[in-house]
Amino acid sequence: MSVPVPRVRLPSRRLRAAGIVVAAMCLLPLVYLAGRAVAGGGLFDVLLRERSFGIAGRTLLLTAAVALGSAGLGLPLAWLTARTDLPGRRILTGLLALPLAVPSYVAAFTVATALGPRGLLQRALEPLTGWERLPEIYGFPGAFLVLVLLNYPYVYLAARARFAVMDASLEDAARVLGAGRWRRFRRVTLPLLSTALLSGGLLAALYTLSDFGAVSLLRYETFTWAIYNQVRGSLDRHTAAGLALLLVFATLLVLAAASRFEGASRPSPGAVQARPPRLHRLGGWKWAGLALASGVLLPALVLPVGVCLYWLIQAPAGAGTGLFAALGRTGLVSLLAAVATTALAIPVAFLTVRFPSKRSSALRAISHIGFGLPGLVVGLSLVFFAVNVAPFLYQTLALLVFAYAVHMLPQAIAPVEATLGPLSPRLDDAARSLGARWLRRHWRITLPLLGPGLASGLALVFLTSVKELPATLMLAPTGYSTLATTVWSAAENVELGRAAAASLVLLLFCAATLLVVLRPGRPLRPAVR
Amino acid sequence: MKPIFNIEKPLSAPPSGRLAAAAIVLIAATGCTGPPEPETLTIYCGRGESLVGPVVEAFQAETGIQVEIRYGGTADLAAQILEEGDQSPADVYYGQDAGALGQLASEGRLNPLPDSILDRVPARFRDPDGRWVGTTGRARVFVYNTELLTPEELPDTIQGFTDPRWKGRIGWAPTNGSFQAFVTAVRLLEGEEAARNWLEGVLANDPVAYPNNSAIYQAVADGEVELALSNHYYLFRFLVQHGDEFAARTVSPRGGGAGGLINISGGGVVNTAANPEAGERFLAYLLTEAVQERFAGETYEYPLVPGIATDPAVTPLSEISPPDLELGDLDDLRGTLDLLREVGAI
Repeated sequence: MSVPVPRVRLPSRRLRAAGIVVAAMCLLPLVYLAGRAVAGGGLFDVLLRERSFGIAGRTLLLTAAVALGSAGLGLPLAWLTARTDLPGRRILTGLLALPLAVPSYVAAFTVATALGPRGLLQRALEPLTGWERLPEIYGFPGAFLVLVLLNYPYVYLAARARFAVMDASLEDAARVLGAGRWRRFRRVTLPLLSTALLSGGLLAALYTLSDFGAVSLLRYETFTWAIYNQVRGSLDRHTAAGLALLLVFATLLVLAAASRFEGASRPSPGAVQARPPRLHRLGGWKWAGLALASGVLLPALVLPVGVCLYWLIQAPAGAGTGLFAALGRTGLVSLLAAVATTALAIPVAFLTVRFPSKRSSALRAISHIGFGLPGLVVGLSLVFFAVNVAPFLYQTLALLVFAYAVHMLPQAIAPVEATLGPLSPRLDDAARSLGARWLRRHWRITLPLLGPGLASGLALVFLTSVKELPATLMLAPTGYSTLATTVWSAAENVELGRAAAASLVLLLFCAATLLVVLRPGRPLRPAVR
Repeated sequence: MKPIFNIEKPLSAPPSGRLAAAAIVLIAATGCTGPPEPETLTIYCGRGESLVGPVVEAFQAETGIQVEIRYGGTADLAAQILEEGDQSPADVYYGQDAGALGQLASEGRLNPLPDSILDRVPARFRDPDGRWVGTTGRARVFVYNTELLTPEELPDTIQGFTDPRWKGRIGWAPTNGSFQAFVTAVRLLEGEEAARNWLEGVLANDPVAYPNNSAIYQAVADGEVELALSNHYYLFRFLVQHGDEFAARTVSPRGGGAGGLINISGGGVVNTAANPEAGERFLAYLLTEAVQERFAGETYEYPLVPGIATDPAVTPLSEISPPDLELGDLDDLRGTLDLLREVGAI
């Protein structure tokens, strides 16, 4: 059934050149950090501090927990929407991906407002229960909760994409051989999903490393929070760079851990759908399924939207000024970022999937560094390179798109890799032997086959570009205010109505995009068993 | 083996290669815009757009100078100017913390200003070496919940926060720039040991740490904590939105000291400015009566030019006994951060 990947082949010169270009791009922040940390003695300072070890421990604990939590939440939700007759699954399919577009500072703020010791929930419960305080949400529990709610869509989308192309005849074969439902899931379905779980979990982990909003508002000190404190408190870029280098090290640790699991579970090429699956009838279990989906959407989506609506009603005056223009600018830069980033992800995915070697693993690691770094660090490093190497690019749209690509590349690599993994390279060989040229082969065969992966990559990069803040503030052309910067500046001025209006437009915009990209109904409507 | 032709059509259409090509062309095209025209004035502004935007428009209309304004966090923009080095496009840095201005000045990144600008404000609201000037004042206050406390129950000075009777009832924002500037003031006024003792005393009362001043006001009004340390003008922004039922009010510490610190928003001309004259004109414009009155009315900050009235809702500057302190000395944030870390406040 499986097609062995021929090991003797080497990547084409074109592919290698593309890999080198991507690696050079992604190394820029690292070069900057090394320069700052070593020249300013920041690394030495940081390593000598006992406190750094506590930060490292907390960072890794939160990262691992969020990755596991996201997998634990994303997998059942993907199964429910892709493989069952859950009522309303078309709408739920899109809605469940939407928390990805909620900026973490918005989610953290609303969660703290609602679930804080004396928040909305406590005030609602007090007349009934007499509780004067709810348990502390600040610290690990709050940060964990918010980050899982925002990051499970990485796993959910990856698992859905895998379900969509999974060959149901494998499961059928297992059934014919007498395997029960649980055994079929554990021995057949789960191994086929393992790459999706790993790639989604990896993205959730790296996002957690780079997140500032949730950890600062819910007060759990990680590397990223410590880095922001250095820069914002004392403009100390040297110590910040030292801490950021430790963060890079943490990113590499996470990658190494992920690839250890991966080695044990790479799916064989050829395990691609030959027959679409049947939908499981949930029966009475549909209520449990709906309860799970709404239990996730309530805090991750309904709560932020509700709080925004409340503020908007409280202070509607002038809330909408300039939002239309900001929406246009957000759309343009996010679209450019999505296209550019996904295009850069293709050569990386080809090199790592088709030509596994030490060099391609190194490329993969390098291309993931930027996602683990906070936007502030990526922004400062590109400020440095642009003004010193390419001043004509400084504060242009091109540089901002470049920054997004460096920061978000892994989000496009993961789905492209996942789609490419099970595809046989022989298709390309066959086309070549029939005389098709490079462009024609890729245009007619590679791109269409990669379609679902490319679409996911575009969507992920687009959604996260829409909410990116620190790099946007530094690198966007002067006056190029986006929805995210509008939310920020309005919140800074305590113009809560305006902040709320901009947040709502941002979310609606992302929802509309997801509806286009995800198109929940598969063209083939599988028969209900 | 499966026949390859059986592989299903993808879920969505692949992105058009032409779109990608168009994007690359567009990126290349936008990359070709050169440096800004020398006639323009570039401002890096750490203050809000809704506040500064109209002032800048009026300035453009009055002077004919084309203004490019980049908004961002006060500290982030200062860090950005340091990172940009000699290539910085900024002519003016305009932020809301004397500490950030002091740091830029001590890194040699701000030019001395002419006396005609500096003399507009009292000496205590400008750099003694004349490299930056304050434009508005912001006072440190105690914020309290009006349903749980009366003004008489509040401490006279910040020392009161170490009293065990406040255990579990107080809040602060230890990572916030205004708070850190205030701790720097405590260190300068009372010495390192006293500052450490004060911080440790407050920490013994399990203060709730908030990320910023808005969160502090909200938490006090919600009764999550009863008493907190913050800046004065946030109150009025909340009152505008929530009305008089908003259950938080402020007092300036009766006993004075570092708790009554008055920090500033202010600006300076960047040493690498392409257009320093226009930068000075802008700073002078911020200190005109019209703009000072506008700030007083819209932000509830203290106008710094003598003779301009403070908003009637705000405690007049004359009733606050601020500490005797050089604001430019607030630039030793590194020492403050080290202290906050050592005692475990951040």
